[in-house]
Parts: sequence; structure tokens; C-alpha cells
Amino acid sequence: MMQGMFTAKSAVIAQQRRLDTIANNLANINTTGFKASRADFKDTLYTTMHRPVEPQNASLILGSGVLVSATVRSFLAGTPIQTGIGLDFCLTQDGFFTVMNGQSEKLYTRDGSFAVSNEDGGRFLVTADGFYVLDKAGSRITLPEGDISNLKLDTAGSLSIGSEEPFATLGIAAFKNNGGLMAAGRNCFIETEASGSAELLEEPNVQQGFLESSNVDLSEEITKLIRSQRAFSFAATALTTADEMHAMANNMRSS
Amino acid sequence: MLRSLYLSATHMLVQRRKVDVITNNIANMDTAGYKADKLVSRSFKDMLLVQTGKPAALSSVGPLNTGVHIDELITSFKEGSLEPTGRTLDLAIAGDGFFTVSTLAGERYTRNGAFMLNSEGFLVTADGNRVLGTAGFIQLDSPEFSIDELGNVINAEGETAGSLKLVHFEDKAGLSKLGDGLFINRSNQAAQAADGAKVFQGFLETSNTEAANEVFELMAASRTYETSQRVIRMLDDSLAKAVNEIGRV
Repeated sequence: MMQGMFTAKSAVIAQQRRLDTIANNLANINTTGFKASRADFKDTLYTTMHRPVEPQNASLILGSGVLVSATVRSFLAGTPIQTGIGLDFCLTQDGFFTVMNGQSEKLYTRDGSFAVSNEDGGRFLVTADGFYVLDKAGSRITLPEGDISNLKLDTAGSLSIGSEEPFATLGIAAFKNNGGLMAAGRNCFIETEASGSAELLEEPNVQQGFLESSNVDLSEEITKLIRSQRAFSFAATALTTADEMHAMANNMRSS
Repeated sequence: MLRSLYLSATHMLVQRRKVDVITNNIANMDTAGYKADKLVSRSFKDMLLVQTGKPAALSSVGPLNTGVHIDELITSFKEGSLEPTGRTLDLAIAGDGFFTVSTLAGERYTRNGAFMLNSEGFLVTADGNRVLGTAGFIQLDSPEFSIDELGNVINAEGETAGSLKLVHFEDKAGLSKLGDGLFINRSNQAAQAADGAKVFQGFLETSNTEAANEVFELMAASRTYETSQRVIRMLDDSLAKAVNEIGRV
């Protein structure tokens, strides 16, 4: 009956979604290579209101609230943080490390905090979640004999131990449209039709001994949080008002 | 007496509609490029009361108002403030003008510049409608592009990739909202090139809803609604007295 109630409800839900997005950003403020998202809104369908006298007016329209139109991810680079650990890598430019999960799916990540996995087949370079880091050819990186603490990386992404010849080159991929990538959790992204296919970078600019911090801006998120909270309570006020008006209509008969 | 019942009822209906419109403004207080609406009401035509049994020249008693109805919706095209986002695909217009968007049903206009690239590299709105340039669609290879104040798009390789079609309308009363941030031109006037508009990259135009004002309007409308409701109750009581108590022995 009363459109205002449903309109206010849509606003409460939309603001709730935005609060969820902000909370997720804040929760990941210390996640290596995390990229912040934001929720965008759009107004919804408009219906024409009936004007009780002629002529009817097509511009006499009534909106029905708000929807989350998209969550947009910012791919701005985070600050490189020095760790001094030989297995920590940081991409200083656009690009992603190519990794492979247990289902042999290719994933892409900005998180370069790698580890060594000792398996039957040898020693492999893996992510913190145990996903294999892939080289330029798309195969797993086997670490040769030698002391891992002597692992060296040149800026082009070639790995070597000590003064020996490079044994592998990190596969650093870039996409035409990072915004089209789909988050797969565990700091990884999956390529989609919208992102375009992965293209290997020739000069990726990788830094050893650094990690990319999260690009969440705390002050911005808190500002958004306050705004969202206010918008939420305004919508809740509108909902209460609509409810009170309903009550008034229901109590029209005095006896 | 019965006429005043109907009169109060028309007033309640109008206040209810007002609350619906205000609520929509509040709901969209964080929607980029949203323009707030205001509902205007007016009274029905006055009726002339006449006395019966008198000559026509002397019969007139005076006008009688028959209530109020919704009349028109005025959209405020006041500019919202520009909010920096740092995202290259976020565009905002300062000054009078609209982005032109191509939909299946024809050209539409929007002030919401939160754009994206689709799988073919076209600049699209969040709903996937392509943004129009002065010479066709805007196609980019990567989101690393720059755009000057006049709307000229320069891609990552430094080449010109078109120019945004920015339009403006002399009389904005002909623009009507369609949802999804889009406006349709319902009047006969043609869209003109927006010369005064400046495009800012990395910014979004915030909604022009003024929260404090809307909440005030909301309170006013709901209290006015309450007043009319009280009047109806009072009239109902009076009618009850007239029917049940007058003439009781």
C-alpha cells in the first residue's frame, strides 16, 4: 500500500550492503596485496503517479528506492613494505603472480608472500595457501638443490640460487581490464570475459624482500562508514515514519 | 460535514505521496549523480455555492474548496558536490551537462559517471549501457587513460580515443527519470552540446539530496498527515453525536 515503506526498506538494505563492503575492507586492512572495494548505488524503477485532474503528466513519477548497482574494486597499488625475507616478493607495477590451486585452476594474486613446499617430486615455490607459483611457461617452479636463503631475483622476475644461472622466471600476468577480475578468496582473482585474458609481462618489475600492503585507506573507510551509518539511520527514520502513518490510517475510527 | 471528510482525505493522500517522494530522496542520498525530487500539490478547482430558490443574480454564496491533489514533480538539477575517488573510470561533470548513454531503447542521459570497461573494452555504465562519444562509442584497451576537461579521451598509448558526448538542455523540465540514474528527454527540444561543462577524472558527483532538509520535510508531511487524521476523527465524532445523541429523549 504505502510505497514509502518499501522505498525505505530498499535503502536500509542497500546501506547494509555498503556497510558490509566497508567492514570487509577494514577487516583486510593488513592483508598483503588486498584491493579495496566500494559499493555503488543506483535509483530503481519509477512509476507514473495518477493526477486526479486532466491533463495527465508523464513527469509525475514516483521512485521506488535504491539498489547496489556494482561493487567496484580499486586496483591502486599498496605501499611496498620491507620484510627482508628472501621469499617475499612485491610487484611495483600493474600485474599479478600466476598461481595454480589444487584443482589445477590458474589464479592471479598480488600477494607475494611465498613459501617452499617439500613434496615427493621435489621442492616447489608455493603461496601461503599452498597454491603452486607458476613460471612463464605456466608450469610449477621447482627449486634446485642449494640454500634457499641464497635465492635471488632480478627485476625481470628470474630466480637463481647464489651465483648460478637462473632456473625459472616468475610468470607475471597483466589484464586489459583489472576491474573485470573476479575475487576468488584467499587473496586470489580469476580471469573473466570482462577482464580479458592474461598476458605475460616482459618487464614485470618485481622486488625481493618486500610485500605489498593492502590499499585500504583507513581514514577514507571510516568516513564512508560514518556516512553509511547516517544514511542507514535516515532510512530507518523514514521507515518508522511510514509505519506511524500506517498506524494513523488504521486508527482513523475513534471508537 | 460529509464534504469536509472527503476534503481531509484528499489532504492525507497528498501527504502520503509526499512522504513516498521524500523517502526516495533519502534512499538515494548516496547514489552518485542522483537529483532530488519535490512533489508539488495544488487545490482542486473551487466550486461555487449557490442558494436555491433565489434569483440567479443573488443566489451566489461564495466559493467552496474541494480539497487538494498532487500536481507536478519538480526535479532539482542543482549540482552535487564532487567527491574524489582516485579511480580513472570515475568521471564527474562540473557545470550544466549530461553524459550520453546508448541503450537498446535509444539515447539516455546521466550524471552518474561511475563507468566500467566491458569485455570488448567499451566504456559502459554499471548496467552495461555504452557511453556515447561524439563519433560513436568509446573503446579503450585499458583503464589507464586520461580525459581532459572538455571530455577528450586519450588512451594509454597517448592516442585520442574519441570525445565524450556531453549534452545540455535549455529546459530541464522535459527530462524525466527512468531509474538506473538515466534521464529521458520527453520534450521536443534537441540536446545541445554542453559547452560550459567540465569533466573531472577520478571524481564522482554525489547525490544532491540534502539530508537535513528531507528529514524536516518528512516530519512536516507526517505531522500534517496526522493533523488531517485528527480532523477526520473529530468529524467522525461529531457525526456520531449528530446521528445518535441529537434528539435522544
